[in-house]
Amino acid sequence: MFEHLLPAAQLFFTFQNLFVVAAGLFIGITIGAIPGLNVPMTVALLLPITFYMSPVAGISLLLGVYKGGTYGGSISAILINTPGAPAAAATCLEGYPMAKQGKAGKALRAAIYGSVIGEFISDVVLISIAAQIAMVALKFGPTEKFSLVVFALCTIGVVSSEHKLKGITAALFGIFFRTIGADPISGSSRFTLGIFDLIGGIPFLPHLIGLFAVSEFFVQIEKKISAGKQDVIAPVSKNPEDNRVTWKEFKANIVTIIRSTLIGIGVGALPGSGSAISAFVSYGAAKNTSKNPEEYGKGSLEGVFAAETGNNAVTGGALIPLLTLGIPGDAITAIMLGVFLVHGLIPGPDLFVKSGDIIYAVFIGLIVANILHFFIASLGLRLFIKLLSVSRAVLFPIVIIICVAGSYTVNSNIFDVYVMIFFGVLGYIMKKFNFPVAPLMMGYILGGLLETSLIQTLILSDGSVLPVFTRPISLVFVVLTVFFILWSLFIQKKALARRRRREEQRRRNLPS
Amino acid sequence: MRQPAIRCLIEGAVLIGLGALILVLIPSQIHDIPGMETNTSPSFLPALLAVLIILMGAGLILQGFFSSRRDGPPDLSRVVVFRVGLSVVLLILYTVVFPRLGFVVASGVFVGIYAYLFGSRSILKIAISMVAVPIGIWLFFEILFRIPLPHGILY
Repeated sequence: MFEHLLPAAQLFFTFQNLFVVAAGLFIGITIGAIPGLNVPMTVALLLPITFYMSPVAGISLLLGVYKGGTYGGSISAILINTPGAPAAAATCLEGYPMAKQGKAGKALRAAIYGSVIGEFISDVVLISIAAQIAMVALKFGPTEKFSLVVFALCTIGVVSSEHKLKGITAALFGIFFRTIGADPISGSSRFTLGIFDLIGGIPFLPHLIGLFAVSEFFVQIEKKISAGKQDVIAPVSKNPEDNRVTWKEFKANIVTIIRSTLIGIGVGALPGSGSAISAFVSYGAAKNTSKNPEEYGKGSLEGVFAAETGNNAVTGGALIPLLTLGIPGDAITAIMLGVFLVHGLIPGPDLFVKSGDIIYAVFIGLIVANILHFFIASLGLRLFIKLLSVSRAVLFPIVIIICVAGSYTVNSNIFDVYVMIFFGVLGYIMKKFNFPVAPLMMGYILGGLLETSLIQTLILSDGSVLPVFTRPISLVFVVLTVFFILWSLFIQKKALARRRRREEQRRRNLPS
Repeated sequence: MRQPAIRCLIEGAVLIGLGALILVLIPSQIHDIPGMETNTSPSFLPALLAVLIILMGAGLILQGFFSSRRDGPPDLSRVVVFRVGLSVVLLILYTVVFPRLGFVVASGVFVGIYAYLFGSRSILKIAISMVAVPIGIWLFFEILFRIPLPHGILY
């Protein structure tokens, strides 16, 4: 490894490489923050440009977009409750309530710190022990994947709402919506109601935009603005403490950041998973181990740290199977594989031997990208917060038009806009009746993997579900699922008792 | 005896109804492949989900009887229903209209209507939004990213 470092540093530190990393980050953050424009699409658009660059510059550009885009989704999630990317959906749960309290600056800074630290540690892990992690990830068969998905869904179902049953029900409906369209095993169509556009299933992006952004639009339009009333999106606190993360707050969240980073690396290393799973599992783990679980859902800084660290830590993890085994961890790394192949770099164990200097130059690029990410995101922060001062009457019509354009342009199909409206209305009704929308989206994202891994498990074991409980890695996830559910029930009971005690005390203190 | 939480009972009953509806729809909406095992057939997961949704509904009903927790009714006042209903209808209308009229023109009109609905009464602000927003989005999607938007008869 060390023999490659000096030539790799010489290869990377050129003006062109530094510029493309910065440009990639800027493009990624901008794209990530706009609902409807996604990182895989941007990486795909930039791919042909990279063919004319050196391999280090081309890969660094796409890695900059990847890192920037994963963070960028949190900006719109925090400011207008609209995740720019699926990975930022968990950030909405705490970031938006914080923005409503005037603490958008604090939430955005937490997102930057969490993202940069998560990325940095995950990159260091990638550089040092990538091969070992890849070998463990290879042991994940369908049974283990099934247990992991059940664990992720139960976690998000249970932690996203005080109503556990409603959270799990929402996740079940999410899986149900995923079953619409062609069955993954036999190809037989399901619940298409004779609509041709549904044969390919419910389109993902309109589903996401509808559930989060359009439903929020309906919530906002409920409120009538009286003449003369200031109708900004959210107040921006004048108190400097509300616009920065203090050292004390940061110190209190170090364990959360490290735990979420490890979850991100682990999830990222599993092919077929992604940053949304990591964000939700990290968020669930943080809530279940929190000293103040009652703050969750009302604007918990810890929740923002957990979700953002978890989703950005995936970026290093997802490169592990790509570089060591040639298996992309997610859609973005799958597109990136093209750059490697075009430049004659064949991912796999030999890559480190044959093209060590190029690979280590890319690794140096990853670390430099983290440093640049911190500065570029921090510089843009003031501009993002300014968005909150815009009148609701101006911003929300803009948001809804962007949502429509974003949904339409995915497949240039008007049907997708109707899907967006349907899920917008559904999300609004769910919010009205205290059903959390995040588990529904997670159920939809993971439904496909859940079904294929379940059926593969059943086929491999002649219809028996016993392997789920007998295979060691799978058993660990089953035990963790049961533990998470029981633990969150215990935490909720404790919080309820504490609330009752406080209310009783307040009643006693009231003069009769 | 404590009064059951009516809201839980209603929500539970609705879930049971939805679960039952999925079960009823399965025979007409999913064509199982002859010779396929039951647990690998296309209808296996939807049926399992329907049963689990029914169980969740039953759980909510039980919670309504035994839990001390009482949620108030959601705000469904006439004003709320009217404003949200109107914005849904407008959104559907916009979706019908914009491929025919063209994205830029239709979006301009609807930005104005929504700005008014949100309470904006400044004609200047509304006019600027009506022009700047659709053109900005058009520039971003069509010119910068070369993603086509519908042009319709007016653009």
